[in-house]
This record gives sequence, structure tokens and C-alpha cells, in this order.
Amino acid sequence: MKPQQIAIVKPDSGVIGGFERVVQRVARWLRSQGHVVRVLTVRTDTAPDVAFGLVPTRALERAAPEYITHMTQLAAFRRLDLRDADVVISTQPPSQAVRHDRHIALFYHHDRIFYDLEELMISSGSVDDPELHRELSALVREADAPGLAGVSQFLVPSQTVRERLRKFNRVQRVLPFYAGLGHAPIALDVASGSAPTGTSGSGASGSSGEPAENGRRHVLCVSRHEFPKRTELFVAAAHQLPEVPAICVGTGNRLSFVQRIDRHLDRGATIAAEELWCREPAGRLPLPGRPGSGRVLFLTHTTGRELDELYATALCVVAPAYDEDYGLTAIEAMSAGTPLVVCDDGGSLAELVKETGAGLVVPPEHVAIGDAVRRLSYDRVLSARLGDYGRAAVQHRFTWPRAFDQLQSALGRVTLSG
Amino acid sequence: MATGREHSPEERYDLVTEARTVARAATDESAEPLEPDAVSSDSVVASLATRAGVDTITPVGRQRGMKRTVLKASQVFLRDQAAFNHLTVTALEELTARLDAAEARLAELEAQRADTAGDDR
Repeated sequence: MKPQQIAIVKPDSGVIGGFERVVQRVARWLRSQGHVVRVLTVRTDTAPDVAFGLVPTRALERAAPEYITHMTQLAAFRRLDLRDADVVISTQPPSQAVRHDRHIALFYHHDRIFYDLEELMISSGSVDDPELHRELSALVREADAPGLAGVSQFLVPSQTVRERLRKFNRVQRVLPFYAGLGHAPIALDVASGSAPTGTSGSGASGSSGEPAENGRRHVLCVSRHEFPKRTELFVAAAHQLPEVPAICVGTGNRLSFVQRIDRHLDRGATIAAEELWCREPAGRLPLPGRPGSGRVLFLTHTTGRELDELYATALCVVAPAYDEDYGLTAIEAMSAGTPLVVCDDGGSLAELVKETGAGLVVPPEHVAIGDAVRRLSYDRVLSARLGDYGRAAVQHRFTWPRAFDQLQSALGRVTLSG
Repeated sequence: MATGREHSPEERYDLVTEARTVARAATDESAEPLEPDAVSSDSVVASLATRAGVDTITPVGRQRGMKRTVLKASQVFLRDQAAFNHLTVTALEELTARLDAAEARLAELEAQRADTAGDDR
């Protein structure tokens, strides 16, 4: 293929996470292939009047801030002048609104509160006016439709995302794109049972527990504390397992709420599974009794190496999120040979475990999660086998050379069809 | 997402009507194209490049919102700085006054001691 002028378009929210690193890697690889690559970003806090010439009323700003942000971004992406690009690669929504004949969408998700999470937002009480939210969702989908219809080729990270595109947009032009991990997992002497070092955290530590025969001894959850990541289920499951230390890595808007649940469960409070996580971040949950000190160790910052150690020395990794698109942390756990516990409504997480056999799939309830962790802690043969399945699957499936083949294939299709 | 209350049918009607106007404006076919700016040496733009963590960043549009945010942040910073300066000046004035008083008292004591020493001699 002759060198192309490629524009990668991306909203900039100021957050650098896993997806930004994927974009970085893609840009670097494209350059290494001789293409000229520009990354164009639109800030998510761009003023609406800059993008579409109107200043929304205070009432609409208050009632629907996400809607205004979406429309502002959409207008800015639609107006981007990309005539000098041979190929455009869009990324997060609504960058698919760009207009170009050769358009590849590196598509991980829609603006989810207006699509697959619409009803969950309503049923969880996260929106106060369900009727308004449904109206806004319909408007967002209508506004997004031309951009999504104009995509020449979608690249998606999972069957779950493929299904969402089929359901909401009747899209068929989909190829898989399984990004590799950021780095190769480090080799650890897990048999020594050495504890992770240098981690900084908050909250109370769990019970010390006896090191297991294979050096694996804690149960781990790596996730942002956001709705609907359901780290609350992990915390509640940890209280079913007093013999296993529990570590939760991540930060987010719901962190203090999750920590509050941990402290109250420590005093014997009982809370139904849905009550635990189906709540807006403020957490109106009437928690009974006085709080204890909690039994989960919350780590808000770790280095890459510390995280690798935590993965490699974990009995298992619990990934309790609802309807995930991709599941990077699950793949990281698999690369460390650590079995997973996921929920059957976990989207790509359940898909991943069912396809690879890398763990156990359970109902989205803390009791079921606790039972699965206990089973893995007692049945070491099963645990080791599931870990091996996971590691083998990552080595085969989630590699950058394979991801670049998939990207190359998409590029080939759009440049031929253009 | 939660607004704190459900809207009356009239309020909801107004909100949806306005939301439709916004959607129409956002998808307006006649809108002028946005020309990507060249990467500038301006410090705000440079911080954008750091934020996104990508190799080459071309900021788009006039970014009026961003400028407003920067102005607000600067205003808060300068106000805090002014308040800090004011407190510092007040504290320094107070310290200077105390120092003056201490020096005066010291001079007084030294004078007394000199008198006493003269008497002894």
C-alpha cells in the first residue's frame, strides 16, 4: 500500500487511559509503515457556541449536561475539514460524526447512557426524569445516525460491541480489533509468595490469611469505581470470605461510597445485591448500624510493576462490571495466568471467559462471586488450569502484531473501495 | 445526570423543544468547516498536547471554552495570590512593629544597664 495521509480524530477529555495508549500505539505503527499521521482532538469542554453557534439555556444545561456535551462534540467533529486526509480513523463517540469517504471507526462503544445503558440509567434512579432522558436518547441516536452510517469499516474489540452496532445501527461492516497489552507481563516468582511492595493505599487491610501453596493468596479487583463497574459487589463478596485478603485497585467517583459499604458490612449489615450497585453516585442507601473499619484494602495508585505483582500473586481476579465493551483488566489478569470471576451479564467479560475458559461465570450477586472465589481458593488444580487457559488465549489472541494485521486489513478495504 | 427533580410536562416540553433546536444546530449542513490550527507554541496549547498523550496534537477551533476556563483559573489563582500577599504584608507589618518594640525595649534595657555600670564604677 502506498503511503497515506491519515487523520485520527479523538475527543480529548484530559484523561489518559488504556484507550489513549491504544491510539498512541496505532499512530506509531501507522507512521512506521510510512503513512503520514495527524491526531486531531476536540476538547470535551469546548463551548457549545463555538461548535454550533447557540448558547443553551441554564435550564437545559442543568437538566442535560451530557446531551449538550455530546451535541457540542458532534458539531465540532462534523465541521472538521479533513479534505487533505486520504483516510480518517475515528475513535470515541461522537468522533464518528466526521465526514469522509474513507472512514475507519476504531469503535469501542456508543455514548452509552443514550444507548445500551439508557434503561439502566432510568431503573437505577440515575436520571430524575425518565421521559426526558428517553427523548434525549432518541435525539442523540438520530443525530449520530448519519455519521455512523458513513463509516466505511468498523473495528470492534468484542462480540458485545458488534451486537450493539447491529442492534442500534444495523451495521454489518465490522471487523475484530483485539488490541495487545501495553507491555509484556513481568516474570514473577509466585511460588515465593512475596507480597506486593511499595503500594500506597487507603482504607483498612483485610485479614492476613495464610499464603497458599502456590504463593497466590489475595482476591483482586482492578477497576474504576464508577457506575456500572459494580465494585460494590466485589466488596460485598469480600465480606463472604473472611479467610481471604481482598484488594481493590482503582479510583473514581463512587470510591467513598464503596468504602462506606465496606465499613458498614464490617458491622454485619446485610444489603441486597441490586441495592449495592444500582444507585446513583451520591448513594442514598440507608446503611444500618455504625460503621466498622472495613476489610478491603483500597489502593488508589500503583505502578505498572506493582500491578503486575498484584495480578501474578492473586488467587483470582474478580471483574464484576456490567456489560463491558472490552475488559482490559481481565486480559491483563489472563496474561498473568490468574483465573477470572465474572458475571453473566458482564458483556465482553462473560464473552471472554466463555470463549477461552479462563475463569468462572456467575450471576451478578456477591454471594455467587464469593462462592466462586472460595471454590478457586480450595481447588488449586482447577484454578491453575483456568489460569493456563487464560494465558494461552492472551498469547494467541491479544497481540499487537495481530491487531496491526486487523488494522491493515481495514485500511486495505477502505483504500480499495475508495 | 440526575437533575434533582422531575420536570412538569410544560418544563419538559420546553426542554425537549430546546434540545431539538440544539440537535438541529449541531447537525446543520451549512456550518462552516473548522480548520485545524497549526500546533502553536502557546502554553495552553502545549498543555493540550501533554493531556492527550498522543504524538502529534492539532487543536481544533478557537477553543473559546478553554480560554474561559484558563481565565477563570488564572483569576482564582491571582485572587488567592492577592489574598496570600495581603496576609503576608499584614503579618510582616505586625512582625516589624513587634521588632521595633523589642528593639526599643532592648535599647531601654541597655541604657539602664549602662547607667547601673556607671554607678558601680
